[in-house]
Amino acid sequence: MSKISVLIIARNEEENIARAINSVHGLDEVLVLDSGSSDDTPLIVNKSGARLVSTDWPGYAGQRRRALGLAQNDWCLFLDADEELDVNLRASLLEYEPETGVSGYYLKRNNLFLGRGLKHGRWAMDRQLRLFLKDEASITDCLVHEGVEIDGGTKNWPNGSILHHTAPTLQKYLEKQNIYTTLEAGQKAAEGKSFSVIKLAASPANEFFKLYLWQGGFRDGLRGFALAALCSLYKFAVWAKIYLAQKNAGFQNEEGA
Amino acid sequence: MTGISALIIAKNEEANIGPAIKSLKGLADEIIVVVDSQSTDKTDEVARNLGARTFVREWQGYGASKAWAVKQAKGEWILWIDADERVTPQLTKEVISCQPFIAAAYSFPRKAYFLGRWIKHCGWYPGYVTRFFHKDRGSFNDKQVHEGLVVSGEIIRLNNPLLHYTDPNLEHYLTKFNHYTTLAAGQQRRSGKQFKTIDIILGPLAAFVKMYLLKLGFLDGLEGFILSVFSAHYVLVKNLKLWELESIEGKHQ
Repeated sequence: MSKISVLIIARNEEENIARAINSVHGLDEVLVLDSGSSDDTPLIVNKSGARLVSTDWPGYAGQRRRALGLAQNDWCLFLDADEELDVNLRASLLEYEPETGVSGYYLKRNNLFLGRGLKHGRWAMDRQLRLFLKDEASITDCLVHEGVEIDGGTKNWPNGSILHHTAPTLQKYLEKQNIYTTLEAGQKAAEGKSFSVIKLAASPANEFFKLYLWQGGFRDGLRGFALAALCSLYKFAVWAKIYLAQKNAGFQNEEGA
Repeated sequence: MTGISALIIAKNEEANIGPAIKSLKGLADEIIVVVDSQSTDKTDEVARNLGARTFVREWQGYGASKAWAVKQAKGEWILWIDADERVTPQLTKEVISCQPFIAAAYSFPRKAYFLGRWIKHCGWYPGYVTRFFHKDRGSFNDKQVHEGLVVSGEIIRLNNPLLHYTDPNLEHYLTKFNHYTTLAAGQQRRSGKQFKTIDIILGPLAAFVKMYLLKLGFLDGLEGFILSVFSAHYVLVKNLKLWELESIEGKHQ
């Protein structure tokens, strides 16, 4: 059996962190990087027996790189605080032996929206590269949805899945969405993308039709509709935030002139 | 002088509370600021330094908090504004010129700004608000979100507007949006309203058409468009949250 380090980055996750840590019980190392929680997250981590490291926040990618640097084992598994391993995935990981020529595994992930998984569209069961050899991994820089890239061969992991408790309530979902849209607006602005009315109007409409009709969201009933509508609002909020940032920057330029 | 007491209820408004209090100085004999005890910034300190009577209190809902504040007032006449509103010198002059006050209450048009632009349409203007009343003639009802003042007697409309600067930061705006839709859904649930699928399709569409087309929101530029879309989403999210509340109680499978 090969040793695995489970790496979790967290901030103010007292509602989630115990579930995540319990689900990896028995794996060799569980490391939680806490970036200044003001709630009971650090207490819960200490009580659980996981290793707690308190840090600042260098951004998602920077924090993941830092976690890799601190891991004691060659094989690492990234788990988010709002995720857990299901029973099958955990059991299979406990008995795992690495295959030659494989440096990374894609794990199935079941995204729960308002308490249940969706069957269609982008949010249906997906696969994420989460278990890998740290020496062969590099973390790509992206403010919101950073990823892992592997030099060597990769494979799909056959057993179980990660349960992603992404939105226990609509209130929580919208709280997160608000944070992500601000980040994404900043990122797009940094990439030099500029605002246009077409993008503000068309990208939300496009998103809705893509999710609800093209990808079959309508077959998930009201949950499918709700998700398509909220993703559409996401796009709208990103472009509205870019508009406002550019408008405010314009005011400052006028004042400075 | 008949005695005018101005009231502001505030939570985390350290940036707004100063200008709001200063705008009241020419009109009010006393300024009362009730600070929500969940407030974590310097709202209380800023208000006190500007000479307001401040009270830090546990939150009991908008209606109850305002009713309590009215009881603390020494003046017979109450002027209530929000922390993001301002009384202009012109409005002050107009109110003073109305003395002796003969009506039960006075209402003002309200000039509201969204993302820095004065929204003249969208059903926002003139949007008369009744904010100045004799304390024996007005009382607050207990709706959780848009609590209203109930006046017994005549209400006279004045000409000069109150200024309303809605949050110029979209992240704050959407945080409030999230909060208010949760409150509104809870209120609907308690009043016995039931979720209907049609409400999440026609409701938002109707809200958009009404604001952007019928109320001429398209004349308010991009700000009018953004506001109209968010208003449509407000109806959508409020109804989805009602559905969610019913789901928690086991009504939907």
